[in-house]
Parts: sequence; C-alpha cells; structure tokens
Amino acid sequence: MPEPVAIRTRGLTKTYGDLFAVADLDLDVMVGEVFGFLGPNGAGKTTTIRALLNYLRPTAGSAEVLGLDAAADSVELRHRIGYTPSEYEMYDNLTGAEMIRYYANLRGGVDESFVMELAGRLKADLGKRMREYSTGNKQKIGLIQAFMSRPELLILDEPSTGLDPLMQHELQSMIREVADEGRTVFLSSHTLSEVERVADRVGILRHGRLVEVETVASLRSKAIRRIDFEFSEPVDAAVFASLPAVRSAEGTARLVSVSYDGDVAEVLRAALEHGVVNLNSREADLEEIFLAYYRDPSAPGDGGSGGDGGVTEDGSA
Amino acid sequence: MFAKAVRDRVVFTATIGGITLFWLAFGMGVYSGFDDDALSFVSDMPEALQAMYGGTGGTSAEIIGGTMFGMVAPAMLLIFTISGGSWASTGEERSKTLALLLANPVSRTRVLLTKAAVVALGTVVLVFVIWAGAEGIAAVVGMDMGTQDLAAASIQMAGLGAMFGALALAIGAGTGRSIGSGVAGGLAAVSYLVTTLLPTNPDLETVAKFTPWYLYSGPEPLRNGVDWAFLAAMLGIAAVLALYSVLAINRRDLRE
Repeated sequence: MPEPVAIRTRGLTKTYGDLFAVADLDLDVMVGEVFGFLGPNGAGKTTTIRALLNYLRPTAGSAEVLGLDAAADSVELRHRIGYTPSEYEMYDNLTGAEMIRYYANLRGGVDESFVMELAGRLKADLGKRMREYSTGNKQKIGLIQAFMSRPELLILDEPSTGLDPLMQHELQSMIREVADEGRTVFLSSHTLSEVERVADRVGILRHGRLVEVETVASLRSKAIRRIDFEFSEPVDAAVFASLPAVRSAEGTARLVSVSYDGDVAEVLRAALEHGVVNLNSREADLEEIFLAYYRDPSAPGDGGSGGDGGVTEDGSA
Repeated sequence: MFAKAVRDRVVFTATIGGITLFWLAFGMGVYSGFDDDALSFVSDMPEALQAMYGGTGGTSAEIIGGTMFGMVAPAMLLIFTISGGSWASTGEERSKTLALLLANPVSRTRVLLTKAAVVALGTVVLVFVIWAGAEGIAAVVGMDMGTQDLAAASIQMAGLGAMFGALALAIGAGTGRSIGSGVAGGLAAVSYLVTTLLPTNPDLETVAKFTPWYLYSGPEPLRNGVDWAFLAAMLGIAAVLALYSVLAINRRDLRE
C-alpha cells in the first residue's frame, strides 16, 4: 500500500517574464515526515510554498496538498495547515497575545493552554506591542500561530530567522514532535545545519529546479571524505592524486591530506605502500556536498539526477 | 476581522469628520454675519471662480450651501472613501501583514469585502455627521438655510463617495498597488473641474455632463432633492467595480 502523500506537485512552474522562478517541479512529500527544502536565496523555495498556499498562480503544472487542489480548495486547506512565511509583518498596535487571539479566532478550535505551552517553550513575551518586538520575538509569534492548531501539515519558511541557538534547538524539538505524532513538516531553509538534525529527507533546489531528493543519511554517504596521513618518510602527494577516487591530495614532507569519495581501500593501500605511521579520518563534510550542489551545474555523486521525482538540470525526469 | 477593521479606521474617520465639521462651522460662522450688501463681493467675482468653489447664489445660505456641499464636504468624503478603497484592497498587502493573515482559513474575497464594508459603514456615518453637523451648526449660528436641502445633498454625496471609493478599490484589487488612490483622486479632481468650469463656456456645457462628478452635482440636490436615478447610477457603478474587485483580487498573484 503506497504511503499517503502530503504534498504532490507535478510540472509545477512559475515564470516571471523570461525568468523561471520554479521550473517543472515534481515533488512528493510523504505524510509524517519532516522534509527539508533546501536551496540558496532566490532558488525558488518561497515561490513554491506560495504556490502551494495559493498566494500565487502557477504558470503551469499542478499542486495537491493533503489530497486537495492547492488553488481550488485553498481555504479548506488552510484549516489543516500551519504556516510561517519567511517575511512578514504584524499589526504594530496589537500585543503578542492579541495577535495570537486574533488568528486563533479566525482559525477556530485553538486550545489556549497549548498556546501558553508553546509560548513558554519559545520564551515568547506576549505582553508587548508588536512594534516593540525584535525580529526574533516576532518570529516566535509567527511560529506559535503556525503550531497552535496542531495542523496536519506545517509549512515553515526559514523558521529560525532571528532565533538564538537555544530557541533554534527548541524549535527543532517541536518539529520532531510534530513528525512523531504522524503529522508532516515542510521545512524550507537556505542552510543545511537548520534541517539536517530534524529532516528525514531533503530536496535541494537550485535556479528553480529540483536537483536532488535524498535522505540525510544517503546524502552523507555521498559526501567527500578526508584523511590526514602521517608517514615515516617524506611522501609526494602526487602519489595519491593519480588515484580515481581521490579529489585532491596535498601536503608537505611527512604529512599529506587526501580528499576522496567512493571506496577508501585503494587510498589506504597506497598509504600502506609508503609507510604510513598514523592517520586521522575526518567526519564526512555534508556542508561541502551541499555547497557543491549550490555552486556547480552538475551535482556531485550521481551526477545530479533526482532520487525521488527529481529532475536534472536540463529538465529531464 | 470586521471589528479589527473598524478599530483600524475609527481614528481616520473621526479626523475626516472633525475637519469637515470645522470647515462647516467656520464657513457658516463667517457667512452668517454678512448682510446681502456685503455678499456682493461674491457676485462680483469672475463666473469661473464662483463656479469652481461652488458658492453661487444670492443669499448666505445658498453661498455656504453651494461651497460646503459643492466642494468642501464632497472633497473630504472622497479623501475618506478613496483612501479607504485603496486600503481595503491593498492595505494588508502593502503593510506585509497579508501573508500571515492568509495563513489562516480566510479567503481573499472575505478580506476585501470585510474591509470594503467597513469603509461603506464609515461613509454612511460621515454623511450623517456632515448632514447633522450642518443643520446643527446652522441652528447655533442662526443661519436660515431656507430651501437648501442638506439631507438630499448628503445622500447624493454618499453615492459619489461610493463610486470613487469603489474605483480605488478596483484598481488596488487589480494591481496590488496604491496607485488606486492617485488615479481615483486625480479623476475626481479632473471631473470636478470639468463639471464646474466647462459650463461657463456655453459651447462646452454639454461636455460637462459626461463626467462622474455630474452624477452628483448635475441634478443640484441642494435645490431639487435627491435624484434617485443618478444616485442609483453611482451606486450601480460602485457595485460593478466592487464585483470586478472580487474577481481581480482572486486572479492575480499576491505580492510578498
């Protein structure tokens, strides 16, 4: 039996003149998962979210959310979705509590004790007027209004903006709890560190195209690794540079650092042949592979083909 | 949402009402002290100037009625309805509060019509305040308004306000930008000048009848009472523009 899908887009495209903000996006987000939607600023993340919420009209393609049409059923959908935009303002003359009450009345069925629990966890002061709030405190109000109705689907666009590290950690806990209850979180961010601790899968968007959809573990397995060798005698780094798996090798005299992907066996064999006396293997650098997706026209690892409904750079499935 | 929208507009509504009442009190206070000889300075003014500020006629009541209900009060009411129309269709979007508001299960149509209803309610209140204020001030300063039908002019003025307010609403709904205020305000000013000034030239008098402002001033409600056909025309135009606004705001992309 197939897993139920929380978000499904097919060929979703949004253009502004000649510019493709989102191009031919095929995306499936499963119910109960935390899906990290990653990409640099301007990649099309917010445009995708705004299309899912019917804030804008796609140029082509379709979007289904919780089994309903994102455009035709948008009001009904927003009963079931909690959303924090990446950029927004609040009513300056209202206090945080008044803002929350206003949104709770519009939504209906909000448990006030749960609101207070969320405010406590995020250390949100609800007594000030919005014009007195810092960016981080405004963000807390935005997060409370998204979480407070215990929605089936949470769409969070850059939710850590303005939060200090402690509150970021608390937010990550709240996100995991939502997923543990079988609800879905669609988490958009331009930084990997924000999502890697909580996401089950990540989709990487660049120039409006989905270049990769993978589990975090799978992405990590494709990451470039690095070993620092210490030899008994001086060794020329070029010995390693000629190996197929090696991306780079550099060093002086007895110390050589080797970056590689794939099988480590041939790297170790070469090191043993030259009298290695010590080695230090570093943690796979996920940030590095993530940045490579951002920078290069072809993704590392498998050449950029999507793992789950992804598209390649030329737009082919 | 309605209660919040009322709260958002109450200060502006009171300000417009207060300024208009001040003008009425000032004008009536000054003119009530003039006898007919002293008023000859009005009839000595160029015809175009008399027409432009609306103060034609022989008695104090006619001059003050024409000035206040021909220019001052409608101008103040239009400031209220035009800015209100633009606020109703673009206010939340321009202040970047719409993104969070629409995170809740409310439609764009509901947001637009709720705010438009608040502006309509404010228009009714203002028109009543202008009429009641004019009658009250006249009584206080001892000015006999004679046959000047202030109630009729006030009712006719409500139609004018609704029409231009709906125009600003429609432009905002279609574009998401505040240019609706400028366009509707500019059109109101031009149509006022055309309606009042062109009749001073007999060759151009007919042209003046083809302006939106003529639907208000043409039937001379101060003298002749409410022209229900012209009032219906203004409200009909407002209704069509409001319908267009609903369609337009649901068709376009919302701005970030």
